[in-house]
Amino acid sequence: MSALILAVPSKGRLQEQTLGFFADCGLAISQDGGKRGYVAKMAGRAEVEVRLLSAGDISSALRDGDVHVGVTGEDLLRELGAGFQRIIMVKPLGFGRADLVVAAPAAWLDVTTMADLDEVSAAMRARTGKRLRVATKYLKQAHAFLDGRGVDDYRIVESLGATEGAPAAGVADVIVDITTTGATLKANHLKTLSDGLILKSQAQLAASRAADWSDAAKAAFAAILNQIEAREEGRKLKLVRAALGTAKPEAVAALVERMGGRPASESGPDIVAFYCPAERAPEASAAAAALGAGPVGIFSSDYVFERAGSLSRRFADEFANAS
Amino acid sequence: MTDAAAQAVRAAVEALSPTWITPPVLQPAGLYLELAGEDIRARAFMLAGDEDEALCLRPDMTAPALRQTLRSGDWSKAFSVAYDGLVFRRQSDGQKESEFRQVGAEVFAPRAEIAASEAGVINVTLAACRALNISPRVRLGDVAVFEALVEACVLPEPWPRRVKRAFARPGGLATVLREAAAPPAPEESAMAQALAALPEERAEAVVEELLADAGVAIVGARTLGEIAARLREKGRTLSAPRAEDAALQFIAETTAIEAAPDAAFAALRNAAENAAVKNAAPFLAAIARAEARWAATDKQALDATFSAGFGRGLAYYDGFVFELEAPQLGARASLGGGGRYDGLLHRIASSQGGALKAPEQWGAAGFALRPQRLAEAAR
Repeated sequence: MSALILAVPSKGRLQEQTLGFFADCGLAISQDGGKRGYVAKMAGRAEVEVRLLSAGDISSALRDGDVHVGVTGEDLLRELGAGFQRIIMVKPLGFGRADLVVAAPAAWLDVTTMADLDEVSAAMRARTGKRLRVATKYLKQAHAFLDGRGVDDYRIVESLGATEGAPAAGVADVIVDITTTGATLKANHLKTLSDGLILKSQAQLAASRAADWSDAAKAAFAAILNQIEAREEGRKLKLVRAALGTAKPEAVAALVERMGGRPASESGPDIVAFYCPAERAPEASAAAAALGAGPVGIFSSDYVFERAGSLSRRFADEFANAS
Repeated sequence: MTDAAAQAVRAAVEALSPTWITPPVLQPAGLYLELAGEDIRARAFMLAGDEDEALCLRPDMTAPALRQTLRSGDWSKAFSVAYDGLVFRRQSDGQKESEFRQVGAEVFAPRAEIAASEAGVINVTLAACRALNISPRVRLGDVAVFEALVEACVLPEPWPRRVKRAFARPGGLATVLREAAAPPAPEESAMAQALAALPEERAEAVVEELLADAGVAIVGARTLGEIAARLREKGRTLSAPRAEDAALQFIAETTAIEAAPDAAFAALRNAAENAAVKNAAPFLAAIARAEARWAATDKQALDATFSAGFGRGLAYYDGFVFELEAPQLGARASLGGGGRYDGLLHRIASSQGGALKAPEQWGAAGFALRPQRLAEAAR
């Protein structure tokens, strides 16, 4: 029995990036039944079962507690509405970026803001008795946003795919949808409104409050989070190492402090070593050399682990608060 | 208890000599979406079905009663209908009933006659309360007084429209005051002003050319003419004098007046003297109609207030509105209410694809009471 169930996207660019992210963290995911399988394993972690699901199914599985954790878009998580309460967004992953926006026909030169849209929709209804048609698959977020902006003469046309084509197809007037470059909107003769940004979305590593969290599941997830964080720290930090030379240990300690660095385990009577934010490492090394240390070398580290990673601590706190 | 309260309301309704009707529980969801907007999805129990045929459990009685009456009513002379049945509303608050009974009536008459029936509608609800020994708090309003107030200030377009529209919204007039103070976007305004200076057909041609050059096709339900016209209007608004903040402020303050009816009417008449009021006559006439209605209201020791700002969020109504509250059941606990809704009558008639017809010059007014709340208030 695996302790922790992790859901990752089963197709497309989001899958590639998610698998790439885990592999980079030393948590390579391999699909059991070749490419077609929907269950997978995580390297070196027998306690983790990986399921491949569509991004939309991952967000509902998290809501229902069918999986403990998963990677999916924030736009889909927020679309859960009240169910979003059951989600903990543990870590934004920096990929899968997209904006959820309100887009209107580019030809509507007189419509640049939500206030314009409100006025136009009111005029439309007054003239024809029909409401402005808004095509979207993001029903809840569209509704909440439009209501919040005082637009009320509209009607949602639920769209199941190719939302951006709805106005050209004559079944809607405006849309609420995700966009990355805006090229698809443009190709469909649409434009975003200046204050029509609903959400800046990206992929999130999210946990379900509704799942059955055994101690083993919590431990397994904490270990994964610690490794992810260690990988991130490893990328952010450089190891600076030098023979102490004529430098005074206190002067070096003050330098480390000033550079926002942390002493490393390799420090000894004759050796100074510290982790330093990568971008300041050359400056710190030059300063150490000037103090009399040397030769000073800068080394990359794959991982830098801390005893209690801040990510796993934050996750544990979130959980403690909820229950 | 609820039955006894319902019985008291039914007895009071007989004063209108209505025909009792039983509209269907299942109503077309599309009708409510058109009338009340997307909010209805959260408030009504929607039943699966194709968008066009989707049904919902009736969230109110007024629209179903109107549909039925439009189909089978005898429109040769004034008449009324009454109903007693369940309505269904999703409640986010588990404390509240999602299924409750409403007893009410609707009065239909030519517009020239219906004003005389308005006080009668309020009086029926007051009679029901008296029979149950309840002294409700009565809040009165009149959307027509509010609209006349806005008209009286003769603001440049599009401000009257914006102000009227803001009336129905939670943010209210504060939003409009903010918008009035905000400067317009410069790029857009340059184009709008240039177009406003051109003759109408020329402006349309310019917009058409602009779009063609940019390779932009027109999608959505608006025509080139509408887009050009609104751009021109925006341009004109920019060069025209801005709405005076003082006038908008005056409207906001006057709308905020809420007092015992006689005092409120006096305050409104007084407001008509304000410098912001350019055209007082229709405003005074609207106040006079509200006063006449109040004079005909059966007001033995009645705890009532009137405000031109009352009626917010009650999208159905376009004339007088009233609500009976039972403070002993909590702040704003409503026993029911009603008002005048000519617009709704005609909107429903036209939404049914011409199959239903209400005579042009007819108006409608009505009310609904909640027997269960009445029973609680009577305890």
